[in-house]
Amino acid sequence: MGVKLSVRIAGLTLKNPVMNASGTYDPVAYEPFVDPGQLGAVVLKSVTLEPREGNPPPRIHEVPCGLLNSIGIPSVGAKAFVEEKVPALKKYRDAVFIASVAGFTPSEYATVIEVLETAGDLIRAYEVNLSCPNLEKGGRSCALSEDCIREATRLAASKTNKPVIVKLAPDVTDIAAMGKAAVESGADALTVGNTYRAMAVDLRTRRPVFANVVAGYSGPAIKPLTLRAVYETVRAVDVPVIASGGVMTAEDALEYLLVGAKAVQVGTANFVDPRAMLEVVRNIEKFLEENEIDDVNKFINSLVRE
Amino acid sequence: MRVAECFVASNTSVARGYKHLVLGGCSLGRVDPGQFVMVKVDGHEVLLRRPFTVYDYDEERGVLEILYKVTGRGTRAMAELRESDVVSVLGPLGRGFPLDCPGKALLLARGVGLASLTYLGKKLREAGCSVVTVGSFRGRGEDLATGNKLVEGFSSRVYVLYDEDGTSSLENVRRVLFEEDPSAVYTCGSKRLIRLLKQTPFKAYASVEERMGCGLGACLSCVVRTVHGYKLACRDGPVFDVRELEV
Ligand SMILES: Cc1cc2nc3c(=O)[nH]c(=O)nc-3n(C[C@H](O)[C@H](O)[C@H](O)COP(=O)(O)OP(=O)(O)OC[C@H]3O[C@@H](n4cnc5c(N)ncnc54)[C@H](O)[C@@H]3O)c2cc1C
Ligand SMILES: Cc1cc2nc3c(=O)[nH]c(=O)nc-3n(C[C@H](O)[C@H](O)[C@H](O)COP(=O)(O)O)c2cc1C
Ligand code: FES
Repeated sequence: MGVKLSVRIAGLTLKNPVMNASGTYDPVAYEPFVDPGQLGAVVLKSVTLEPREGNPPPRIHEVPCGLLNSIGIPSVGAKAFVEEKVPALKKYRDAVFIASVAGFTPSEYATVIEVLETAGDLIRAYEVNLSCPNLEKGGRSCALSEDCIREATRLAASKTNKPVIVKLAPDVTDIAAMGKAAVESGADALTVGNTYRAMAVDLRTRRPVFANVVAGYSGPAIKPLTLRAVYETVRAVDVPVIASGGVMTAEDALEYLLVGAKAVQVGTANFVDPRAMLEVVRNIEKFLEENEIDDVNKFINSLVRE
Repeated sequence: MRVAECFVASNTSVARGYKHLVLGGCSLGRVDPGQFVMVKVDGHEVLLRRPFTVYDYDEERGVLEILYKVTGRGTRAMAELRESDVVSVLGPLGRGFPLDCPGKALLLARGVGLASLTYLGKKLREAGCSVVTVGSFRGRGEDLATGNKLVEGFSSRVYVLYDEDGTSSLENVRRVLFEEDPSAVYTCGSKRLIRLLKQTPFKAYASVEERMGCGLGACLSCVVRTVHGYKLACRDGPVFDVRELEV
């Protein structure tokens, strides 16, 4: 016992390096299984400025070793989010909440943050989701363009004193360059990455499975891909990197920590087992104990290369 | 709501392509008719849990039964389950059927949709309703109602209709509905039957099926079109008033 699990990210102290990935966990819906106060942080579902219905069904499609989704960020809109959703979170006194911000233009992220700033202290940081492939047809997102990343990050960071975490797309030619662009524009931390643009077709109907055609691929299949992306980003920037992609078990989480991620997000795994995040925390602790490492920070970025 | 590690007591074929899974050690607390569970099957390339309604349930004995159609990867893996294998069950989930008793309830089932109405039939009977069951099937080989002890136990009358002899036609179903003149109709996800019911004066509820990720209301994947916009099948349903549904 007595392993230190807490990590610091952009001025926030997290109890442990495990949080959920936006859109895959809701503290109210998961209350029978997870006390959000036991997580490093809780990342809320992305919020858009205006209310949105989201995409038509089907919205998910299982493929070998993963999941395609085309949810399309249904949202009550930023104003209703502050008025209706935030009050329901006040009872989770020990939880660290990070709001996730979505937008259609670089300036819209900033406008959403302006609205969310009125929610007060409950929201401790923002994750700026530049990388959702499901908002626009064809899967385009801001995170595919260095210019867009720069502008959106700069505008977002100008609206708040809270930490700004920029969530990047992992499926870009040069993730390190994208990470640098965000950091130079004011990102206090990075999340690498999101889902991968992907597609499914139905051989019987000869149609794309999803109305949007392109969807986002998550789950175990993407872990080695995002591991590489995290590894490269960590070596290119001097801010904390949070890993998001295919964490199903504590081993997956530890692999990300080993290559230098300061924390990990658990996404798709929450669907397979609603207690997955707590299992990951418990087994990270167990691993460190067994390996006689008294502080997770000594393990983070300890990859041996000779 | 909980996650229970249950063991397979039996997993037997009941009709062409349909199996009946009986799970022991499956204490889920109280389960309302129409609620469902998410089952984790460890199969080749199966990741997500699969949703199934509760076919029958005995709270005291901790016995949960599922009637399922073998269709894709998940249910094929389920079909391979053997006695004493362990299965993780998440539930009970969603909001079930309102029991409008006393009165005459008519259960209108299509295919394996019957599974979502049997536990309901039992509870309606216990609550003092009389229950008429109408089962519509492709053919005799897919008939899940005839000789079904559970169905015979709660039904005062059972109609079995087939596509192969034309008795399952909408006109015939409509005729049975009006002849029986029930105080409430309960049906499964068949869009054809839901549309039919919307054109009758009967009070009617349907249990719908949508693809599900979490089953808990977090992933927002299981949307159903309603007159109030999208609703979540797993949290707001799976049971809806048919008049609320846009099908
Ligand atoms: C609330 C609810 C209750 C259900 N109850 C029953 C039941 O009692 N008996 C029964 O036989 N079937 C039931 N179904 C349908 C059952 O969930 C699907 O047949 C099953 O998920 C198919 O899985 P698969 O891997 O074999 O098929 P695949 O087609 O390989 O599945 C691929 C993906 O699509 C999803 N999917 C496929 N068909 C359906 C469907 N009809 N509805 C929802 N998701 C689907 C699967 O869950 C999986 O994520 C129910 C569905 C819902 C939503
Ligand atoms: C159903 C679903 C909904 C998602 N919604 C969001 C979202 O609203 N905002 C966001 O930034 N990412 C969203 N994501 C992406 C996840 O946060 C995560 O980055 C991605 O799924 C990769 O992690 P995983 O493999 O652990 O799931 C969603 C993913 C899924 C599967
Ligand atoms: S299945 Fe996740 S919200 Fe309904």
